[in-house]
Amino acid sequence: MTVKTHKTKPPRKRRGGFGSKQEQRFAYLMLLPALALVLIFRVIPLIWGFFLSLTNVDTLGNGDWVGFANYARAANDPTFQDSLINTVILLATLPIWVMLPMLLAILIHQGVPGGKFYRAVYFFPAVLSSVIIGAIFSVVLRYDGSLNNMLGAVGIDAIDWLGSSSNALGSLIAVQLWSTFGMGVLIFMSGLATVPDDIIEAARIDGAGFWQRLFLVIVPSLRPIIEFVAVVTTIGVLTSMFGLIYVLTGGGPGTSTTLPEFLIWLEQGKLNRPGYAAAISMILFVMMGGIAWMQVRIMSRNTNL
Amino acid sequence: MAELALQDVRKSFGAVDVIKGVDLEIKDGEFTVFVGPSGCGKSTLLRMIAGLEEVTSGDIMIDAEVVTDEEPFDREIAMVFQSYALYPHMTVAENMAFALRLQGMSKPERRKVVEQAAEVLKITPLLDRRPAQLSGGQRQRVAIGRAIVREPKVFLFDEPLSNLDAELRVQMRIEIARLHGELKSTMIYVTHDQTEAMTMADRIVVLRDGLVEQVGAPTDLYDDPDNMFVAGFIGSPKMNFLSVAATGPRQVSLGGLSLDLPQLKNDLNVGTEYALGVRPEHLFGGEGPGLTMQIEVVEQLGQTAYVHGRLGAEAQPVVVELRDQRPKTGQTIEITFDLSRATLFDAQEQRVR
Amino acid sequence: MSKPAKRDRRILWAASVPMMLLALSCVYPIYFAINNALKDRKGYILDRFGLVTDPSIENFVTAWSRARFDEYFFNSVTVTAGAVLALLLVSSLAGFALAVLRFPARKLIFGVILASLMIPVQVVLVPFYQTIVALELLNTRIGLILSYTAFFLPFSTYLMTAFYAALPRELVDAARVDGAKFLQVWWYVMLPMGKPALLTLGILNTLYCWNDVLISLLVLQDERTLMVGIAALRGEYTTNVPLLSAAIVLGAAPIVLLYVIFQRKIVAGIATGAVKG
Repeated sequence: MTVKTHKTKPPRKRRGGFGSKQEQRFAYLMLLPALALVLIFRVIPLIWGFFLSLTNVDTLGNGDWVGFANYARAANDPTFQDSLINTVILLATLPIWVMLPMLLAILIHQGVPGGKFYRAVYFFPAVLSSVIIGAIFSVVLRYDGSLNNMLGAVGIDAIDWLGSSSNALGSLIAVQLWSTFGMGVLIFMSGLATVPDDIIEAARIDGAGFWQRLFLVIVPSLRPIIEFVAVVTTIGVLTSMFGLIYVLTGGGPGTSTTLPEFLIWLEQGKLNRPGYAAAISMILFVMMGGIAWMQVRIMSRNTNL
Repeated sequence: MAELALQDVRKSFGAVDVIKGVDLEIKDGEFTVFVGPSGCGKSTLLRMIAGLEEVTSGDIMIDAEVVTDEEPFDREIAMVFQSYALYPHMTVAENMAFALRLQGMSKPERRKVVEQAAEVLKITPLLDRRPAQLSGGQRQRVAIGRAIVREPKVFLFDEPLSNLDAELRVQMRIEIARLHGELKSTMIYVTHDQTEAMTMADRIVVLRDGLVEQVGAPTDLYDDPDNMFVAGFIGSPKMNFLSVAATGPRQVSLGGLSLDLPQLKNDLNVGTEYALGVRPEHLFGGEGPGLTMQIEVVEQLGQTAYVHGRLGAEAQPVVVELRDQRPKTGQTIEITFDLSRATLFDAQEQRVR
Repeated sequence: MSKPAKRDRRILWAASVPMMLLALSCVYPIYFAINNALKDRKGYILDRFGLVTDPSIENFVTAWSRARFDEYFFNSVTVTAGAVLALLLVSSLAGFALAVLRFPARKLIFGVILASLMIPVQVVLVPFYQTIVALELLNTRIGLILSYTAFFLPFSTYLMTAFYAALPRELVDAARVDGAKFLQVWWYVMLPMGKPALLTLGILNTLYCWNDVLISLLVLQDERTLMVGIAALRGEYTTNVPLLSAAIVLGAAPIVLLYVIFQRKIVAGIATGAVKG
C-alpha cells in the first residue's frame, strides 16, 4: 500500500451561509448595545448636526431654515479663516510628524546604544493627558519659565513662546509633536519587527552601507506603516488638540492658536449659535472625512472577517 | 445509540449548491464513513448532522425524530474535530467535563466519569495538564475522550487523523475501530483518505460534488463499483481503465486482442467504446492471452511490486501488481488478465453489468 | 541582527546624543511636577527652577481637601471604571457576534461601527450636547460613562472582532456541540480566550477616559473630573504653580503607575490596526 502524506486542510473559508434563526437573533441582540450607543451618540447627531447647520435656531429652539447661510457666514468669518490658515500651517508640518518617529524607530531598531530605554521613555508623554502636558508647558514656556532659563544659561535670549502671536502656534505644534511622537515610534517599531532581518542582511552582503540600507531597503518596506502613521497623525492633529489648546493657549493670543475644533467649542459654549457651530463642525467633518475613511479602510483590510 | 436518517438533504451557500439532495439511512451502531475528494461536501454534510450548518431543505432525523432545526446542543451528538478544538484555557479534565458541566452534573460526579474515560484512553496522567502541553496524539485522545464522556447518541468525526503523522495515524485508526467495538455506538467518520474508509467502515458513503455516488460495505464498493468514479476512488493504487470497443454482445477488443466477458447480463452495443476497469492485482505476468508491457517505473515494496508501463500500443498507462518478483525498469513482460473480476463502464462512466 | 559594522556603530553613537536629550525631555515633566509640588509658595517664588530644599506635602493636602480634588478624583475613578467595564462588556459581545456568528448584514454593521471612527466628538459637539440634555444625562456620571463608551467603542469593537476572528472557529463549534448555548459560548470560551485583548483594551480605555477633558467638560459641568479640575486650576490660580503641580501629580500618578506596570500591553494595543495580523 502506498502511504500518502496528508496536509492539514486550509482553514475553511466562511462562505455566504447564515446561522440558524436563533443564531441570527442572538447576534443582533449582542450587537444592540454597541449599535445603539454608536447611533444615538454619533451617527444620529451627525445627521442632526447637518440639518442644524441649515437653521438659525437659538437656545430656546426657535428658528428657521436658512439654507447655507451659516456656511456663507463661516466663509466670511475672519476667526474661522484664521483657524483654517492655522490648520494649513499645522498640516504643513506633517512630514516631521511622520519622519521623526520613523528615523528614531529605525535608529533604535538598528541598535542605537540605549535603544530599549529610549523606546520606553519616548512613549511616556503620550500616556499623559493633554491637560497635564498643557498645564506643565504653560509654566515651562512662560517668558520667565524654565525653558528660557535654560536657554539663558547657554547664552540664548529669552523668547516669548506663548505670548506672541508669531510664536504661539509653533509652540503649540511643538508641544503636541513632543507629546505624541513616542506613539509613532512604537508603531514604526512594530512595523520594523515585520521586516525580515535577512533582507537587511542580504543588502549588507550586497554591499549596501548604512544609509543605502536605510533608504533602499528599510524605508520602502515600511510604506504601509508610513501610510498608517500619516493617516492617524492627520486625524490626530485635526481632532485631538482640544485639551492642549484649552489649557496651554486658550486659542490665543488673538486667534493665533485657534483651530476649527476649538472654534466649534467656543461657538457652542459661549456664543449660543448652535446652527453656526454645527456648520463649522460639518466643514471639519468634510475636511477629515476623506482621511478618516482611509484609516477605516486600512483597519478593515487588516481584519480577516 | 441511535439510528440516523437524511431525507433529500440540500445545502446552498448563496447561489452555490454544496449538497444537492442526499438520502441516507444509518443503522444503530453502524460505523459509517463519508469519503470523497476535497470539496465534495462531506464535511458540510457532517456539520449539518451536527447542527453547525443550516439545512437549506430536507430533513435530518435521529431516532425517527426530526432534528433539522434543532441547535447542536439539543441533538445529543458528540464531535471530534480535525484540529481537536480543545479549549486552551482549561485542563484536560475540564475540557472533557465541559459538556457535563453545562448539563449541570456535580463536580465529583464529573470527575468520576472523566476518570473512567481517561482510563479507557490511557490518558489518566494527563488530566491536570493544559492542551498546549500535550503532543498531537495525546490531544487527539483528549478530543475523543471529550466525546466519550457525553455518551452521545451519535459520534461524529471530522477528519480526526489528518493532523497526525503516518505512524500515529495507523495506530489511532486501530484504536478508534476498537473503541467502536467496545461502545457499539453509531459513528460517522469523514475522511478524504480511502484507506481509512476501507479499514474502518462498516459502510462507506462515497460523495462527489454534493451527491452520493454509492453506499455500501467496503468490499462491495471495491468489488462491485457502480461507476467509474467509485471504482477509481476506492483502492490504492487506482484501478486501471482501458478503452475498449465492443465486438460482440459480451466481447470487447483491446489492442487487437479479443476479450470475453461472460459475466455481463446485458448485451453490449457492437462498435461502441467502453472503459474496461481492471485492478492492478488482476493483471498478471505470465501465460495466457495477453499483451506485452515495457516497464517504465517500478515501485518495489518487498512482497509486492507495482509496475508502471503501457500495454502493447495502448496510450493509457497501467499499474500491475507483481507478487514476490523483482522486476527491473526497461524489462518487457507479458501481461494477462483475470477477466472474471474486470468491470466495464459506458461513456457516461456508469457501470455496465 | 548581527553586530553592526564599525562605521555603522559610529553613526549610531552620534545619533545617541540627541536621542538622549530627547529622552531627558520626556522625563522632565516628572521632575517638574514632583519638584514643584513639594515646594511651598514662598519657596517657589524664591527659587523657581532649583531642587526643592524643604519638601512638604502641604500642597497635596490643600489640593485634596480645599480645592475639592478629593471629589474630582472620586468622579474620575467612578466614571473611568464604569466606562471601561461597559466598553469591555459591549465590545466583547459585539466582537463575538461580528467575528463568529453568521447573520445578514454582518459586514455592514462592522462597517458602520468602524466608520463611526470618522465622527469625533468635535464634529457632533452641538447635537451631541443636545442629545445629552434631551436624555436628561447632563451632569450625571452615568451620562459621562455612556458618552465615553460611545466614543471609545469603535476601536474596542474593532480590536475584539479582529482578535476573535483570528481564533480557530472549531473551538466555538466544539463548545456548541458540547451543549453550550450562545451566551454560554461567550461566557465560557470567548471571554476567557479574549483575556489578552481585553486586558489591552482595559488599559488603553482607562488612559483615554482618565485623560479626557472635552467630553467631560460638556457632560459633567457641575461636578468635575480630575482633568477638568486641573484645567480650571490653571485658569484660576495661574501663579500658584506648586498647587497646580500637586494636582498634576494626583492626576498623573494612576496613569504613570499603569504605564510602568503594563508598558508592553499598551505598546501592543497602540500598534494594533497598523500592522496586519
